[in-house]
Amino acid sequence: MIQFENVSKRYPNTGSDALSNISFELHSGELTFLTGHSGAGKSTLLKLIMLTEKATRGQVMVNGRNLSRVSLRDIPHHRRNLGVVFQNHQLLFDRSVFDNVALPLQISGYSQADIGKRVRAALDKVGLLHKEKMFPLALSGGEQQRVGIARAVVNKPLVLLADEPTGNLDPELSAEIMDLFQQFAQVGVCVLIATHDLGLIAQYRHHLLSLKDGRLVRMADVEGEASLG
Amino acid sequence: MAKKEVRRHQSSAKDRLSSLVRVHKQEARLSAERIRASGATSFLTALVIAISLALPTSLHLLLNNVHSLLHTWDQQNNITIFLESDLSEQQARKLEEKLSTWNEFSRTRFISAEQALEDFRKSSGLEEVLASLDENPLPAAIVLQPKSQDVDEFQNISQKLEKLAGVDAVVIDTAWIARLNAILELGKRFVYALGLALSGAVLLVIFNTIRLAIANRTDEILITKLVGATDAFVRRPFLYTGAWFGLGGGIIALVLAESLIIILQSPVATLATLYQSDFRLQGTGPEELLFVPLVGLAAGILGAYIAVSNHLRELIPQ
Repeated sequence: MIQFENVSKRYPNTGSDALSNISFELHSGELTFLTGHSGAGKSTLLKLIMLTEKATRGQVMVNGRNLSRVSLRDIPHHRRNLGVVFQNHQLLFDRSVFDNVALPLQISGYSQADIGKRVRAALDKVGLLHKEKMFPLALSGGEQQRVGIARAVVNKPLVLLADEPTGNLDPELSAEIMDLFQQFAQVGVCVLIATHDLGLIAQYRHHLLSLKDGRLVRMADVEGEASLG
Repeated sequence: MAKKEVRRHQSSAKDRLSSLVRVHKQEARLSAERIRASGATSFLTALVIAISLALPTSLHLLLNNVHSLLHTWDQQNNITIFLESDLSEQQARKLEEKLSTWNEFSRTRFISAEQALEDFRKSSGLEEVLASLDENPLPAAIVLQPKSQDVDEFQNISQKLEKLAGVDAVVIDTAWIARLNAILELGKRFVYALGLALSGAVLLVIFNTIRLAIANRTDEILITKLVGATDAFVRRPFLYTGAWFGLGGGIIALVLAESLIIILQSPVATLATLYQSDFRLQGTGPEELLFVPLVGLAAGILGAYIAVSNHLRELIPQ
């Protein structure tokens, strides 16, 4: 589903590569952790998949599509196949929980009836159906994050990206969030979670991509056996 | 699986259309609400736009009025031929008859030497002086009203008349019309240039307003872009904001210009009465009612478009 082939990324005005010669492949139904210190290149890697940045060298393929060939006009359509959960929720505080979750559907031009059905299904999934009329500021941090997840999955994406989704949450809430991600992986979504929470990674033994200074230093499968990156 | 998934993400054309209409309605309402929510600031912005548009609008209205005033004078613009003094009244009347068959003229009027003297006596108040004269110094005349008010046409006609037997002099005074017309033309150009410059100012005001609105909503723009919004989707609310400002400013501009006309109406009427004229100032016509808000609207949408496009350019992946 996601395939990197010798991908490098260098930002203008910096001497070194943010990502250097990265290759890996992630499949549908897999949950993968992406780890590394801050500045190791986690965010850059996610940005290449979201197409907010373009690779300097190499190929990024998502759902069989070479992202270097996606035109500016087609970027929105590419992003509609992705669900993204942001570290700081990135909710819009001037509208209700329902409207926040409905945003991707409105953008894609769904009918009002479809929007209602899908938003409620997504909110039900994250256990916030009863709070659809509330505003994000009235919710706890964990609830806000769950609204963010509902928004990410409401479009039934093929790929779910999460950037430090448990960053500010206590272990109990983190576990709830992780359960959700595992459920999405089970129904065939390709889930990639960027985190530096090593406890989380140890607790849930999933695939692992480990970055250090822009290089892939470790690629491990479910059993934790190291393979060359 | 990929193919099936892709299909699931599409919605029918009808859905899309009704969704588009709904989104447009919603954005129009939301942007109007945002403008209203920022109350005084919004009003000041609209007022700046209104004043910028009101200035050329009122100048245009005043010029229009001068033009129509000139037009009422135009119609009194006649050609007078003075006849040679040895021409008998009978010959003179014959000449008038002949001229009245020319299709250049809509009306001809013969003024005999006696009548001319009588008229002059009445209007000048020089009765005593005139009575002391042995003979009538005034010639007979024919006043001709040409159908055309074209200055060149006047010249042609006067040349033709001069060649006629018994005609002493042809008098037309079109120079002042030509001059006034030239000044009026100059004024018109000036108003157009001013209008263009101030429409540019309106565009800049709205550009700047939208730029600030964007700065307040960069997060929102980023999020909507990341969940797959097209540039058009991001642009839409701002275009509505720009459109409301432009349209609102245009309407206030019309009110301002019309107020000016109303303020000037009564002194102008008094002045006109003193000149035995029933001239009245004309306010905004259907042309202005349509044009001014349209200019505001266009400048608003264009200003907003440029502002949003500038911002969107920064979000292009590198």
